[in-house]
Amino acid sequence: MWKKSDFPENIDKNPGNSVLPISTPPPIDTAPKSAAPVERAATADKAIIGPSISVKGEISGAEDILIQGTVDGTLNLKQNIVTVGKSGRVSANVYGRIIHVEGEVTGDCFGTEQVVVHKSGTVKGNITAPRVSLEDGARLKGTIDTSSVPDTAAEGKFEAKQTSKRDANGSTSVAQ
Amino acid sequence: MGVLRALRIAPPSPPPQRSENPSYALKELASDFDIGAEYRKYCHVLDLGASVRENFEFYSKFAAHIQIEELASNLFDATGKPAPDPLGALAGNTAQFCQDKGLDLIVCWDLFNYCTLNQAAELGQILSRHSKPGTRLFTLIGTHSHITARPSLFRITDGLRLVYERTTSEMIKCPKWTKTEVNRFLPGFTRVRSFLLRNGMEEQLFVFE
Repeated sequence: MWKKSDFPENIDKNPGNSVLPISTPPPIDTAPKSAAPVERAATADKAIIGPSISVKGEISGAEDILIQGTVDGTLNLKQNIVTVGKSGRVSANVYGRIIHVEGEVTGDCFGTEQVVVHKSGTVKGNITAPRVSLEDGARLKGTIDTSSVPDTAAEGKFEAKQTSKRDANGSTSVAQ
Repeated sequence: MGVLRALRIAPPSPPPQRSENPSYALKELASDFDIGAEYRKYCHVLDLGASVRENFEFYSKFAAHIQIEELASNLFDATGKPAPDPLGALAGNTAQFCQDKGLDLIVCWDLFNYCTLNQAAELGQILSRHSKPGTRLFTLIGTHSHITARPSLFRITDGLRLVYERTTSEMIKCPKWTKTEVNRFLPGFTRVRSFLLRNGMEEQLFVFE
């Protein structure tokens, strides 16, 4: 008959949350610091389209995706993170929660949270997201829209203020 | 006499690859567009230059709609010769961008210096068509005899200074557009400020009437 006291003390009941005994020193990482292990860990829980894969059509789903290959069509993962890797070539409109562009995108990017164009990234198309960041060296040809649907009344106020500023400048400081 | 002549015909030395200069026009613009976050989402900016992080951050303070056109790369083909139709896509892209709202700020950088007379006039026509009363336009006009053979890359620093990054050391003749000529290129615009800098560039600020 199993008793509670039979349960070994050192075994954690939650395997994903194992704790080392205090007397044991932490493992020393002697492996050379390279990007590969980090990348492997980061990509472990996302779908990957490898560099030799070419997709035509719509990609949709409910998990994060890393594209290192070629996609021609539409990417529709509005709740997830879409990463166009350095070797990724996408000719499509991209819908995602967060979109990272490290490769090349020809098409529009719609991020419900954020779009990041990294230094190796190129976007030929429009970006719509509440937050957009361009890293130094990133290339973009297109438009960036970080607003929501405009309100006509407030827009009128804006134009009036612009005009009044112009009048003030024009009358006092015209320098030809 | 011979020495003097030799000095006179000596080719101009290229400017440093990277230089930082004060920009009075940017300070003016920053002041003009200090209109509060409430209006940010209605403001449309057209930048004819390359995508530069610092510039994007500057525009983002007052505008939620930014168009980056990279016109500099359209002006020349792969061999470095002037491209046949560099402005072809600009009109359509800009119309789609601002629709019927009109632009609030147009940043031309030094591109007029690299346009032919006809191209400059066509560019001005396109920009005027998408402007509205109050639209600001910023441009840099060369006043020295020579300029670098390709448009520079410009970076707006936090202190509203302007970093010029030359993309080539090759020099070409500068068209030295006069103020009257620039006025003709930009129908509907009135020059409100101009600042001549030591590097030979003149910052010019316009407002669409």
